[in-house]
Amino acid sequence: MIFVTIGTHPDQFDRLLRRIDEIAPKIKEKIIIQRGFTKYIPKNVESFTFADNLEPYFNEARLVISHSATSLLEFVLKNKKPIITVPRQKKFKEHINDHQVEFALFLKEKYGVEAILDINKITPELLKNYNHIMKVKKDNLIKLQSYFREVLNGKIKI
Amino acid sequence: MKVGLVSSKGGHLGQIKIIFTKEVIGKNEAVLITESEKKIKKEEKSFLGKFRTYYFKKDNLSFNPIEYLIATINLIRLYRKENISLIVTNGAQISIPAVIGAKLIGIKSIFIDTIIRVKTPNWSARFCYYFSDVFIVQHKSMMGKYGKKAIYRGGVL
Repeated sequence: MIFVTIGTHPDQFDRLLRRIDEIAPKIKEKIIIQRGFTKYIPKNVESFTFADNLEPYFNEARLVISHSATSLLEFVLKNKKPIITVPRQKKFKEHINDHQVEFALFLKEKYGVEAILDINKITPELLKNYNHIMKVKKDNLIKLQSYFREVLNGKIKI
Repeated sequence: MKVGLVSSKGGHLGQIKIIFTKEVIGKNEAVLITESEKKIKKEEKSFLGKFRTYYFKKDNLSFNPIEYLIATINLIRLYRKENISLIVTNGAQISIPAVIGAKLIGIKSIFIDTIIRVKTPNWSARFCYYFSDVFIVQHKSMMGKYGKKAIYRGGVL
């Protein structure tokens, strides 16, 4: 199953939904879309607005296609599954600024996670063949956690 | 030490949960202060299975100064009630009354900039820069984007 999620941000993100809808007939695999506040309802694909918990979808998915929000973090840290990010862009009025683009490019540079800026780069072939699993480097997290451990234990005075 | 973790919901709260595991908190105590899904709900649930969680009104303080004033007063009350000695916050808008409240009653505060900002500063962090005692960025590329006070001590990714 391919799970597409665009979160709870109120701006429209039909650019992604239309593209998935368009190529869906060429893909045999089942696709499910969480479409949030976006008004466009895909015709060729199953979709829903919101769910209290997206985890069952993440668990079932072979591939996740997601907007590039921090809520992704918990997913990427927990699941060892391929993910493609499609950042919401300011120029398409999909968000108030381009922080999602920054984050997507960071994940691409550091972890090789595919980041789609040009929506036509989402092709049936990409979805069929994409299997890159991001290997999380824990060194930065360990460093940050040890800083806070020392603060809480009074070893670092602030 | 009792630490107050203040964070808006979603990815911000997600980062707090990733950093502040049971091992990190150790023998210290923690209180989680976040937002409610619904409009105004102030119930208590547990954080890490044993600490209190307070829910504030959703992070829609926008630019209304009265909303910030009310939030600041409520947070100060909560800090006093829980006897909190350190505030750690990572945004978004709720971090503004969180650090101002801490400053007003002499509690130390640490602001952590969000991991999602790799190149450009954001306005709640810019604001908190002036009121927090420690200001942490999660990317080396963000050093110098806010000011000399910013430090880098790793990050969630």
